[in-house]
Amino acid sequence: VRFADIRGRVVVDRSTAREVGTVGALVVDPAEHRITSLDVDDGDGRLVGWDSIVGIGDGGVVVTSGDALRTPSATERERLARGHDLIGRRVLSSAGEAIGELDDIVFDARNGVVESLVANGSDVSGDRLRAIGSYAVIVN
Amino acid sequence: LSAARASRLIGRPVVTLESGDIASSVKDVVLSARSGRLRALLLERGGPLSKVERKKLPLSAVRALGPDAVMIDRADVLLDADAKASDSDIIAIDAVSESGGRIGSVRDVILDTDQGAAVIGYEIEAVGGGKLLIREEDAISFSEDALVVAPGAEAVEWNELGGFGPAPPPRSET
Repeated sequence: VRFADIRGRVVVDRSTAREVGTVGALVVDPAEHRITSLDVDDGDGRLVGWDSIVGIGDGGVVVTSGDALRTPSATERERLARGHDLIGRRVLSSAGEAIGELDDIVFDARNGVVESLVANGSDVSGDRLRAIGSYAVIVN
Repeated sequence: LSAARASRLIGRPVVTLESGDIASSVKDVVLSARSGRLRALLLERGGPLSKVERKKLPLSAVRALGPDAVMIDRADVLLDADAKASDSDIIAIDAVSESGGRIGSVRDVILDTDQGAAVIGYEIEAVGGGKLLIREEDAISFSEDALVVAPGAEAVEWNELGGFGPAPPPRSET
């Protein structure tokens, strides 16, 4: 799944079929190169952990229940701040060479594992992800 | 060989590998006269609206001197620097031969960014015009006053080298 395809899509409660918000930013754990939760634009700054996501597709994101939305932890808040407006951020290799700007993030819908980062039209394998910072995304 | 002009490092961002944040940017380079290597980078962060923060980055803490950024592990590898931001500026000093003849003035320093930032040579604006490269092994000593060059050193014509990219515009004194 591409982040560009789900950004702004509705987040739906499976039990009530009601919209609880829309997909905002990604919360990424760079060490595990995995998306751990999705920031939901619900007006309350809450997010949904990956274990509460039932499905992700072009129809939106289905979550187990409205109760799955929770306030972010301190770590998540920090990662959220770094992951905010991620698309367009510069991508730097650990050798200090600019690869380009981040176009998109491709991930496995089942577990949130980042499969690849798309930068300047070419794919960088997700396991090369090292850090997501305010200045740059660092890849090995 | 991965050659870079020392002057091209100036202004380059210093970025942390662990967090992808910008820690500072390069203000000046410090060369070691003894080892013929880059010894440290002087950094400066802040500007008109914030306090200027000066730091020193020893070469040992540099993970990569990349074309777009200088990479370090974490921001805490930076050392506090004195307010004075230049104890090594050899740009514009005279290059003189051991016998006392003036060869020209130093315009830039060429570094090998792979081999521990060793100095490859000194770019000289020759007295009679044109550019020369004095190789590091032909440099006897340098200070902020002069670069002393060994007798009989063969200054390589710039054109023979294919250059190391265009020279940047002269730095404005601050």
